[in-house]
Amino acid sequence: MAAGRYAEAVPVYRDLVKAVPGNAGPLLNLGMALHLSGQDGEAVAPLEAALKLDPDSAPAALFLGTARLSLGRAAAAVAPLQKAVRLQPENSEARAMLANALVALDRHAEAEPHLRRLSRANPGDPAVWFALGKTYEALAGQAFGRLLEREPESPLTLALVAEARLDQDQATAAFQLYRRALERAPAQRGLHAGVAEVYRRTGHPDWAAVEEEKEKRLPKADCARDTLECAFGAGKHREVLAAATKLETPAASYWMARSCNALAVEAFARLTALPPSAPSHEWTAAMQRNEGRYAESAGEWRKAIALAPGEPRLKLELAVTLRLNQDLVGAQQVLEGVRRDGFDSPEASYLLGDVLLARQQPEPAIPLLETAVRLEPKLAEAHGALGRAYALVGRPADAIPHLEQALATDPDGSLRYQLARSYQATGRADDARRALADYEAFRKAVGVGSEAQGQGVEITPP
Amino acid sequence: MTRSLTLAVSLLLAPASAPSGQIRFEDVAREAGIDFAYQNAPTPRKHLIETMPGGMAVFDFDGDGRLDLFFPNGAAIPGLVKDSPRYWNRLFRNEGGMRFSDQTEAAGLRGEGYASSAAVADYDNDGDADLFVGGVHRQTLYRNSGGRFEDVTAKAGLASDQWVVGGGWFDYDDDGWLDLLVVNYTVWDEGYDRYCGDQARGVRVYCHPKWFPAIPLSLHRNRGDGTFEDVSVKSGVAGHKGRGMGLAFADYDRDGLLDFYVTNDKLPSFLFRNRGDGTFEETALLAGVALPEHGQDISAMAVDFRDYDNDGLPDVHVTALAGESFPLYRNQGKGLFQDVTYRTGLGPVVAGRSGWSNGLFDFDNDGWKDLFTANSHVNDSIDQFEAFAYRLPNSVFRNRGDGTFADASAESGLAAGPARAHRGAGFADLDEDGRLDVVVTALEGPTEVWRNRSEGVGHWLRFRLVGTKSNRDGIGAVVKLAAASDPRWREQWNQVTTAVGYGSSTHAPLHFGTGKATTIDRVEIRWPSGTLQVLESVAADQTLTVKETP
Repeated sequence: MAAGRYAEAVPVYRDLVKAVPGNAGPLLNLGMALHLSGQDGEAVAPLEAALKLDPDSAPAALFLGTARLSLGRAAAAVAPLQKAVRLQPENSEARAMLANALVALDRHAEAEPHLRRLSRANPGDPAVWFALGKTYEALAGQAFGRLLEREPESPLTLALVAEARLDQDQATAAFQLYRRALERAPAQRGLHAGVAEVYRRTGHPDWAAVEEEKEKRLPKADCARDTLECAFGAGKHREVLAAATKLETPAASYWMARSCNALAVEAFARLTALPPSAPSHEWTAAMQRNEGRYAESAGEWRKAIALAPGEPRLKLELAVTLRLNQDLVGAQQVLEGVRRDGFDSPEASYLLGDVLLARQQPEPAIPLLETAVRLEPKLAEAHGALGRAYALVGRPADAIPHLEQALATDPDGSLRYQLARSYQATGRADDARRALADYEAFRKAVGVGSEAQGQGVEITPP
Repeated sequence: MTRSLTLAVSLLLAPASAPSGQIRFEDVAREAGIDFAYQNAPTPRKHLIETMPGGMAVFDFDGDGRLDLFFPNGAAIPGLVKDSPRYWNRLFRNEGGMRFSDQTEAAGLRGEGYASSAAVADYDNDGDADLFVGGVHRQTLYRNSGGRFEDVTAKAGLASDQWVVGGGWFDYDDDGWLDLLVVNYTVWDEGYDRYCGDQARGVRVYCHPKWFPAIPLSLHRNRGDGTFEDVSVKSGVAGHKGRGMGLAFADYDRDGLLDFYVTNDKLPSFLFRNRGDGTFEETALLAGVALPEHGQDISAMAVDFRDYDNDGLPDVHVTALAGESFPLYRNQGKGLFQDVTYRTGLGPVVAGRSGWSNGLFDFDNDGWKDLFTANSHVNDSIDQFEAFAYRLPNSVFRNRGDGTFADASAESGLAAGPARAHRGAGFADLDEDGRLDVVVTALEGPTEVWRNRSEGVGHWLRFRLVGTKSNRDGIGAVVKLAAASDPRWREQWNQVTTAVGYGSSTHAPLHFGTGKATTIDRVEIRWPSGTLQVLESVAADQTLTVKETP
């Protein structure tokens, strides 16, 4: 073990376990050797036994949690990792593993204090800042989701959506949303400021000045009552987060979303202030991809891969970016490389199949997509791609069940259309008519094909 | 059943060898004296109108039997005024021997405004080919009087302030007078200043069409007295809004009534079925030609509506942008189409190309219509956002006659040709050698005249139809050929239309390649009036003028 020859240590420890049954030490060592030699499936049983025999063994808890996490059993990993952290609060590795497990389970609120503590303990670790920033982003998203679900038309919700639209350079849409919010809550602070920002960005500084004046004339927040707003205004974002987590009100969700966004910005700022690292390149790559700068983003993914060559996830992200950049040949090469390296996840199979389909090569795409849906039956995008591939090669009957399974992910009605065509091709005329009607209704509902309605409502003076 | 009366105007030298050669093109624009480059007046503000023009027309404006060339041209921005000769429209007279001379001023065709498209037909049935020119906030009808053009727009009741990207002539009510379909793209004015692109990098691009409202087409009924009636609403055409681009006419359901297809930019395209009572039914979705099989909106550009597989049913081919494919819809009969882009072998080869004009024509005269596409992306900065190129060489795909196409761009010489912002195209035998040539326009680049140099091509036969009960151009007439002497084909169909290519028009005799067949056993001409005219044992390698029997 000390020489790093973990696989060779496994039979030695197996013999020891047999020789000294009921002893936690050999079981722990066997579990560690199995885990370190990549045999996580086999490592779990001796580690569980070791922890049962010695419930206060921090290494047993840590390795059990790590092995379960490696096997994708994040929920089962949490308890032993929590125990490891409780037993060894200064063990950064254990805390990082616990945070990873919680993040994998979307339990971001629980992960946040661990990541925060890790960032204090290891301020030079880019991975921590990256994880912390992503966690705040997720928390902001969850808060916004709650707000949208509970009060989709509230002025607070409209204001948040408007802010997002403005970030996406959709000034007209943002203007409309701010106006709607103002109709509902003329005295809500921030709305006139938002309209002013729209005016500034669309070349109307004089109108912006009028709106800023209106904003100034609004009554100030009553900090005895509007505690979250005041804390946010004072830059006390963590306090807002802590307080808002305990509240169920729309205002709490609103201020939590805004605070978490601010905290994410802070975390990513810390990340980018550090020397370049795989996480910093990943963060930049993701930002550029969101902005549609695919070629630059691909360059950043490549830099991240160069610093962390063993992470197939980064290669998949690169392939996704190349696909978005319409560099289909490049994406295909990356994905084929990932699969050659032995990383054959459902996502990798789907992505490669999808790229081949985009290259109008449905025949080689089909087995890949079939593999993807077999390994991960819930991967709706893969079902959609497989349905399309079957339809292209003249197998509409095979296409139908997959297209039906993918409908929930239909972004623009295209799956509904393909389904209608497949019904038609298989003689199911009534189903085809229904699906076409569904296609038309869906497009109308989501406004596919035109943003011009928003454009038609012009940005008018104050 | 009636027989043809008027035959054999021109009998030209025929190729002696059997059809087996490759398609070959050579750009002879410079030697031909064609020095036109479309002036789109690009600005840093990236007005959408700048990337959308570039149609052209092929027609015999002076009635000398040779096909001449017309190019609409842009104008200064702002203002949309032709404030310099560089913005004039241009007319080139075919002097023979593939030589052309500029006759713009003499013909009175300098034009006004930001012109972009052309549509030719003899709308007044006087024997001269007239000219409709579409543009930004302006459309113009020029009446041809012996080679001199008069602007009769106002007199005809056709004045419009729409942004017109194309027009087409057809006799939808079969009254013998050609009606005018006008494709309006969207609403735009010079004040429109939405910033599209990447402000951080300072890369401004033409805005996505989704930011522009969809609007209806316009249909104008020819009253036969030189004036037109706007029947857009009455006909049902105005009830459908799109962002129209290309248009093509064909009787797809073979009910004797001319239907039409209009491509829409990033919206489902239209197929208007002629009900025969003066109204149309939009049926593209049900027919399966609104969208490619993948169901996603595409930037549908031009359309050609011809029978590529010699089964007697006109099929639909559409150009689009890279990543969207150029869908080919096979007419299955009973009003239904099937996307056969992949099955015809076109899918993988066009997946990364962007096309504007297209044309299904038999370039090697083997009896099967090949496919030409004039290529370019719409976004002149696309390479800064995606792994595509803006300027592209053109393509040709040879019809193998077995339901598939082969990319013949390399062997034809097109692939090695210039990568340009190609837009409009015309297809006709300019040098009268029996082989179809192609003229392609480019934004801010020289127009290309692709002389067909294919060797070992087959025989051919052309028809110049003269309607009497039907419109004089015979637009809408369907011609069927049958021959037993070439085992590669037995029957062929084509129809008379001048609407081909993006914003373009070709007013030329209807061309058939006949392969090894030197005699066509039977020719059937079904006129728009319903008259069926039959010719038998017709010699190939000639242009026949056929007058509709009264």
